[in-house]
Amino acid sequence: MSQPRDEGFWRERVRGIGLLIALSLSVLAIATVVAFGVLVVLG
Amino acid sequence: MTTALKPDARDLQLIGYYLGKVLLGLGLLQLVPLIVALSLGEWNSASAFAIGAALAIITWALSDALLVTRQALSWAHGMVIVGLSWLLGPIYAAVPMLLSGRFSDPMHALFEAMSALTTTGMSVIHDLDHTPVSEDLFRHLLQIAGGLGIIIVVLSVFTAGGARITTLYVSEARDERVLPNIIRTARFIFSVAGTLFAVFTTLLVVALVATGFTPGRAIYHGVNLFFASFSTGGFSVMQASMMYYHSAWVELLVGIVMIAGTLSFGLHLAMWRGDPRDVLRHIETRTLAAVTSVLFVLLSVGLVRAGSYDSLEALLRKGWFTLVSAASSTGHQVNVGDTYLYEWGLLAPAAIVASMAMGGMASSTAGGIKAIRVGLTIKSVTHEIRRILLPESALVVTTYHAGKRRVLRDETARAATTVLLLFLASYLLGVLTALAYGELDLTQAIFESVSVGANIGISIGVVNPGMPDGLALVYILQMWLGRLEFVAVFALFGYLVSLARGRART
Repeated sequence: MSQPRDEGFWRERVRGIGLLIALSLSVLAIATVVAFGVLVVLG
Repeated sequence: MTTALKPDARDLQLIGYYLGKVLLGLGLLQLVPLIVALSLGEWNSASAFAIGAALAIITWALSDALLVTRQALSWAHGMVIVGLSWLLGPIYAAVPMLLSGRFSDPMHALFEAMSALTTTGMSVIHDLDHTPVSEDLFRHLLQIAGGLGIIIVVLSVFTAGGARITTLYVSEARDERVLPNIIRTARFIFSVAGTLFAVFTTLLVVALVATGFTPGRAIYHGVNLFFASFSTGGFSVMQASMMYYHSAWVELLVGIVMIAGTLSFGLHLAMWRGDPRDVLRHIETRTLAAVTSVLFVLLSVGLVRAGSYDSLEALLRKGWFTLVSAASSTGHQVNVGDTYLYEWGLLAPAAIVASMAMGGMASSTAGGIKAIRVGLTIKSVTHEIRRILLPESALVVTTYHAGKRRVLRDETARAATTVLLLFLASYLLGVLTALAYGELDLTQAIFESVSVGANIGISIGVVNPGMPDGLALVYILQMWLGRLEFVAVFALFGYLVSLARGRART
């Protein structure tokens, strides 16, 4: 009989994906600020 | 001088035995597109996969029957097995590609297979838009198997594991075991890939349906997009690559998956355990963030000065996406190859080349020199400067964070710098070979060579179905060297020399 998944199984996956999305959106946010700055200065 | 011992029949038996297992994995992998081909009535592709799978499985059956051994693996065996696996694997994978009739030249079929397994992602297929579904799936399956590490994928399934395959795991350019036990490490890698596959393929399918795809086509594109992006391979099912989708949401999701692919599995573990601080202070994160930020400023300045783009959206969707594609070593394209040559000026392509040369993180699916080596080389240079500036009696200690606080040792810095220099030599080899053909300028030769040598896949147009065989062969060599980060290949050559000239055992 298969064992039920413990609570940590899902928690660590949700946390991992949440942090990955947060990290990616932070990178995009920084890139947006940089690109905006370059456009203002040189555009 | 000590002469190396000549490998004997037992060593060759052991190497052959493990190579057979790797080929079994490749044979079984071909059963997936074979089933798809049969179910869709793609008979030509089905026969190609049936022959390819049979060839690989028969080779395994022979090696398993004739070469079975319980001899323990040494480091030398591990290196040789990995070096040969990454040479034989593409040869066996090229068989169904050649039989499918997509390639008139066997060298180009081998190029495509090596490009797939090493997650380079450059393609020499004539009409990608009309490639059968099963053949597209096979190319993308090769990428994900190669990205995760074909040795770890195969041997963690088909062997008892433990110390015997640890040597193979490290030889396959995976410096760092994520967890103390190799099987647990393999399971964790599968867990990360499986979880991200479930979540992001679903999101990609939704985004594609929202842009007008039918559910069936959305699933087909979503699955292949995930494989190509997480493996940091960058193959595409359409000739137009990412431009085909015309969707900012698809580009954003693919961007996140590319970032996931370039993060080391050690950092994935830190995130799963809820320790983002470990991610942020790691030398690789900091190096990648610092270098990519500087390069994005240069890229943006270059694009705006060249008059390429004048809106924030264009700078992000064309410039930032291309930089992420380069830094992650994926190679998804949102521009046609000529754009880099004729519309981007010089500074912007130079920023992309620098980003491609460095690549992503070690122990990830990414290629290139790797951020940790660039970071350690920078640390090593500042260490030397501090040593010169401080009094002779001062004890200069340089530390860095990689999982824990570590002291920079001379041998660590030397190893990082050596591999960095070898990558530069590989890039130079590709540049000189391309220039020797006399039809390319320096920009084209540098861009393409760095992209191939670092297993990136963004093309300026040099790699095409009409590419000369000599150039294709050098690019194949570069992809092989780049994926294995030189060590296993050099060990293989050393083993071959000792086979010919070594001292016989007494």
